[in-house]
Amino acid sequence: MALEEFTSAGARDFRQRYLDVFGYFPTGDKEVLVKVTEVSDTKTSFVDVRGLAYTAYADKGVMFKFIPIVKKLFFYKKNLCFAHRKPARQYQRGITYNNTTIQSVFGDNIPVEFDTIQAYSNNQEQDTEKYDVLLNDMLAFYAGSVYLYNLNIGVVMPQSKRVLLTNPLFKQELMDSIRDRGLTYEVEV
Amino acid sequence: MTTIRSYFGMEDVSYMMLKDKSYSEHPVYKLANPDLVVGVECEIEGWNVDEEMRHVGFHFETDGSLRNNGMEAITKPTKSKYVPALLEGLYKHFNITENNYSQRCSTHVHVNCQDLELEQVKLLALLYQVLERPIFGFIGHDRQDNIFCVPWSQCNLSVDFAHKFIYDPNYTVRSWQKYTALNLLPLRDRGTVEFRHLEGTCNLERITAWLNIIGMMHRYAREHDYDEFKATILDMNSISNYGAFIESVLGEHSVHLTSLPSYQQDIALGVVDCKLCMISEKGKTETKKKVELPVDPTEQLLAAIERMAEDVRQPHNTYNVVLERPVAQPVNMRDLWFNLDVEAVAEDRREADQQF
Repeated sequence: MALEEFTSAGARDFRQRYLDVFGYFPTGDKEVLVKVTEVSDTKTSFVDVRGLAYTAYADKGVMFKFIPIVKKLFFYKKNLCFAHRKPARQYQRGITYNNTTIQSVFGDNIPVEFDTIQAYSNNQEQDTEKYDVLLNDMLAFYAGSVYLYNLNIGVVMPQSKRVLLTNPLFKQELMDSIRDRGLTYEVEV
Repeated sequence: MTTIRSYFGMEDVSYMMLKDKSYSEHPVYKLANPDLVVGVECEIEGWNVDEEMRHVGFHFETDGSLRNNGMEAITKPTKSKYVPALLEGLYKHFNITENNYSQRCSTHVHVNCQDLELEQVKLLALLYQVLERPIFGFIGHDRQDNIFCVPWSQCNLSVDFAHKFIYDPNYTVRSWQKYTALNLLPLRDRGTVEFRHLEGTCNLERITAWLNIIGMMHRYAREHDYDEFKATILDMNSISNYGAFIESVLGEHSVHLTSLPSYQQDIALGVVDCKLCMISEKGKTETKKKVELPVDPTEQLLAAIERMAEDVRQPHNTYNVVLERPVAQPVNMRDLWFNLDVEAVAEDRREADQQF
């Protein structure tokens, strides 16, 4: 994650880049996930996940840590979701609904909100079904299938610990991911 | 053979090229692909020039994204071997130093692709897709987070590029997004692709290294057959010798990428992206295989029952061989209404009431 200081000299850039953007404000030893709601030349306002509003003044050494957008899979409320960046012309940096698309792997749009961003940032493993496993950012077992990003590339058989791939192209990558995750599935094509 | 120039019907770049014979190669900085025609856009802040200003080999344009008298100095199309000397002349004449660059500034390189065939441009784009992550590693300065230089690997933009570009190049290029790190939009009007990666800098060594990487990629695309390249990529996986592949593309300049600590992982991800792009080419891959039912249907059934019991609230999570979303069946309400067996319904209700 990348840091940027809020200064009066850079307020114009800050507004262009971070208005409506989600990110973290480091406070002491903690980091608060917030959404920037207003930026003027002297101060910036933001809200946290509970809806509490905060104000930070310029040139006080206040840092904003934006969340870079990485194409990846993550679990959100037991759904396997696929996040990627919209390449369209926009000036915002870090995650916001303007520049980020989050969809379930079935194609349902997921709103870019606090809880989705928490799931995106933390890879909430506990929020999964029994046989659903996030192998890494690009591969996952979900609903009896194996997904490469949002592409269904095979079938998972958890009882016999086997994976049947529809395409041999990704066999080695899948085997590596399964091994790195400490699982013992056999991959067949 | 359809070249970019013939497909888009444009004038040969040689009409616009720098003709002054007094330009010479730089004595120190030599280029790997010296005759490759390029145009370089240098975004510079804090200098006193305007659009009317003249300087040999350059013209000047305003750019809304720059501050502090920021202007863009753009070379005429010229052979890459002349670029270091041209830039050095500009820097000396206007006293440009690293202080003239901020985070807002960047250096864009347009590469002439007019003589490339469509398949060669496709090869160049897919080769770039493989190398994109290590290229950003070489560029550094968090340029992958820059909003004017969006990496292909962060978007899902290129996933069906290979198929679409050959099927309808005009539409594919027209619908491209300018602020992607490798911008394909100028193919349509100038016959160039634009590498937007490099930060604003007057470091000639760095600019030359970047031009060499681009030049070698262009040479590889020109000299290699697409099917050969495709076979190479499809054969590659996470245990392949990526260093040898980079060396086959960039030659002695591969050291810029192979010296990066994470280049193996980065290339592995790039290869996956490229494969995804290639398998979207309809009718060209024979690798796709139909899924057959697992050998043990009992186990499959038991697993499905177990799963359904656990997840009654989310029916789409049902354990199936090939997951399909449930499709709502249309119901003809009129038929339902008029064909309703009223007596049967009434009987059913009575029974239910009695049980209650």
